[in-house]
Amino acid sequence: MGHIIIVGAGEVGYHIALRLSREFWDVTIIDQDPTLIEKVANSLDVNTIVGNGSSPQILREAGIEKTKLLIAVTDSDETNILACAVANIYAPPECQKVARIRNTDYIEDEKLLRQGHLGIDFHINPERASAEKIMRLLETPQATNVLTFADDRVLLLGLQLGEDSKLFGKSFAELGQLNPEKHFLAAAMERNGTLIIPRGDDRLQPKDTIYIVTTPEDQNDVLRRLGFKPKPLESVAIFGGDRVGFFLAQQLEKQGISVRLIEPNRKRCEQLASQLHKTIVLHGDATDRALLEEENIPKFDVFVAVSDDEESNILSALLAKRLGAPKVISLVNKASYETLIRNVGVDAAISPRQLATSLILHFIRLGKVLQVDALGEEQAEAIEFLASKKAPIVNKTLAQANIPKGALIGAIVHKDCVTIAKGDTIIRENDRVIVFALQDAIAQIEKYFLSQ
Amino acid sequence: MIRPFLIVRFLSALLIMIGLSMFAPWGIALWKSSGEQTSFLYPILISLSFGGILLHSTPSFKGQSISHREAFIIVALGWFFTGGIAALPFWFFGLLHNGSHYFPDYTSAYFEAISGLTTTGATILPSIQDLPASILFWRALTHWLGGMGIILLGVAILPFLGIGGMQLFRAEVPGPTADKLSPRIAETAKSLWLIYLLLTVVEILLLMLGGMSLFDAICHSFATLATGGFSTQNISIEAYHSLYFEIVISTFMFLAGMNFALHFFWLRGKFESLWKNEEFRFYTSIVVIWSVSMAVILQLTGFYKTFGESLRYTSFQVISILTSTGFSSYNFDLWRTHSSFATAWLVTLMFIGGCAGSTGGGIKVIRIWLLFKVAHRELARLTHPRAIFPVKIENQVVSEEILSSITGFFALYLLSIGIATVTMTYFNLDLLSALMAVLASIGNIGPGLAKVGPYANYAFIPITGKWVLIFCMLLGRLELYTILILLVPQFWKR
Repeated sequence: MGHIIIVGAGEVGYHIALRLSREFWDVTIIDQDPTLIEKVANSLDVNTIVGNGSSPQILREAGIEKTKLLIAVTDSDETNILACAVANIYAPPECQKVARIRNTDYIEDEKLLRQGHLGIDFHINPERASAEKIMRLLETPQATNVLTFADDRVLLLGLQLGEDSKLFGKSFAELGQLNPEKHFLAAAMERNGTLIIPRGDDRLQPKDTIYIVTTPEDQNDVLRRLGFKPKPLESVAIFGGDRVGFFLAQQLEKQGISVRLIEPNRKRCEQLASQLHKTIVLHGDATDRALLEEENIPKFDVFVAVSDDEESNILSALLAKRLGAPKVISLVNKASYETLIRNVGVDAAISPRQLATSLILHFIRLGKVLQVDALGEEQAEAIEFLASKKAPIVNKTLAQANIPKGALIGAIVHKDCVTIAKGDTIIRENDRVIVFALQDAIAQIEKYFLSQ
Repeated sequence: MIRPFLIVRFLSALLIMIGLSMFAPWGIALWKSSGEQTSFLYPILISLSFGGILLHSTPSFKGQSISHREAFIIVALGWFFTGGIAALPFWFFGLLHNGSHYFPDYTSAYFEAISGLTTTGATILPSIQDLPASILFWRALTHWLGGMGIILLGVAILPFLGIGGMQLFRAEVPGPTADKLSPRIAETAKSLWLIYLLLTVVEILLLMLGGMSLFDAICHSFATLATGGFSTQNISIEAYHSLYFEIVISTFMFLAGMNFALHFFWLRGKFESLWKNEEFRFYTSIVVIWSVSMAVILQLTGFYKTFGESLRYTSFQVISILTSTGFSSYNFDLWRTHSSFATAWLVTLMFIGGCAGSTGGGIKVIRIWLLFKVAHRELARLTHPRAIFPVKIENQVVSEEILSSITGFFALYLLSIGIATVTMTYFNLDLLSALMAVLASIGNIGPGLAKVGPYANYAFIPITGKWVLIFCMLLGRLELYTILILLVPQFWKR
């Protein structure tokens, strides 16, 4: 495989390096912080350099002349942009350049990032992506995870079974009986942090999370059949007025939803209050129980903790849950927290790091792979493939195709028509296919979709 | 540092300007040969010679900037002095030309001149129609010149001194704002004067189109655009009994009560900028709500037979009082004896006044609007003690300094009204008449109710009482602070 340079060994850089090194790429990772580099060097099979990632000299040392991909994900937008610009000069023309850019002034400018002025092929904004993901979750309040595919025509919903779910003890075969017209497909199940592709005789237990493939049109009907009551969103309390919180408040107040935004920094509060119109901005800390009770936060439909301090996020989310908040969502960055907090009562955990990784992987695989999303701590991926002309899977029924173990076809988009996968479904050329695969099966299933 | 010569120089320039402007009524007096031309000739000679001598004998301050304290003195003294010169034709008319019935003393002449210049429109004249055209024209011209002075004051001087509505206006209009109309203050003032002139000419033409004489059309248009209210008729606009005139005049009163910088936008076809302007929306809402409510009240109580007739009179009076013009198309004091309720609605308008950056007086629509917002915020704070609630206008945060300056203004305004009203009752005015005289003066409206109603006049008030009202007119016109600061000892120290 080819050569890749990653600038920045923070959470995002580390996880991309982890994923790509596993897929046998030659990864060189650059960071100014020797302790971060040491951590990478000790745990990953990659080449490491301590130094400034936007310096031409360091980049040459890292092998910029032969690199196929440069990923700049330091905390500084300017360093990332400059690293891409340097690569634009020294790297071979086919080299792709990806930068993490958070400042919306740069992103929203019409020309800066387009037309290749800076040599950036793709840019990601983890905070914006997290906020968009939280918006999708809020729009489907019953789900712990929502992914969309094929231009929003296919939905993947993660649903955690409540204490009183009518699905307990049911097998997946029985789940299919709730669904005679094939409006949905139960694609995967997560139990105690382990993700599996279920067989027909697997039975559901409390706190299991099931992943359901469906379409936005059928979504409400399917949720009702599975015993998840739809309820319109009326009020949201947000903790943390940084980029994510601000974006959320902006979007929610536009939809006429009542929003409270709690922010500990007084100066930031004033800024937020001046930029938001209907949101009530509260100065305080969401781990302060008196504040939550005074403002009646537990009575809000959802409590979202998205401050920069993830420990505060988790604590405030747990506090809100304990005070009676029906649904709490928390932003976390450390991979180790994600499953942990789901088990103690936080309904959904959003990780900007994981989103950024997904987006970058998506971009790297662009071509016949249209979209990749990691599920359950990267144990599995949901991948959207474009079926090539001579791909082995084309023009066979799924039953004939002999899908490898650990992989599952979820839905097929033929022209504009969505079909939830059945045994007799046939994949045609240029169909968009949504596939679930456990880590070990990814490489295998990819071959089914690529032309020989 | 206060440089007396600098102040004298400014005042002498004003003296010359007023002197030059008297050539117009002098010309009318000569043309009509009605015998009062010396009433203008003497003041012209006095102001031009004194002004010329003073201007020549004081050193030039070219290229030097004016300090804040000097500006305050120039503004306050400027209006006082201009009033003193503008009063001379009235006074000479009273002294030399059998006019003592109209202007028995200098105080009366000064009252009329200041009432004109501050665009108040309160008169001491018992019968207006009998006066010669030149005097009537001079009254109208003091309005029109005063209006120009107010625009300059609003655009250039008050923002420099940190008072008034125009610095609010900066936050108020998104995109190009008053101070961005042109980078230079002088250019901005010229542009606004051009609009002022343009609107005056259009109104003159529209009134003539309806059959008004050129002279009456000019006088009424001057008084309309300046939101003054001096008419050439004893019973103001009612004398014409014309729906057409009422519509034209109320439309132009409404325009004159708007922020003049807004005219820039709609005259260029950007009508949406009007609706984006919160002050304009509030201003329009007040006009509509008050006109309709009063029309309903007066119709239901049987004062008018039809709603249409009722609305015709209430809308004219509402616009006239709100914009602080003071024209009347009906003796609205008669409403008072019929329905206190309808009258109370009218009195509330006397507090509000026109928009910031208009020629109108009163507290100003934008200040009232912001006071509402501040009050609303205080209530919201009680329910959400830890919430941060900035006060916004068109989604822009209004700074706490401006808000406290506005609440301070409101407090001082009410205090001034209170003190002046108590003082006026000393001169044997009943409480209502005293309050109305003060409100009509400090709000630069002109007519009030009861003894100072639209068809009454201020002649009966004793000399000291007139001076109290003169002081009120200047106080209101110069947005309180400009005058009151001169009474604070710290201002004069060091």
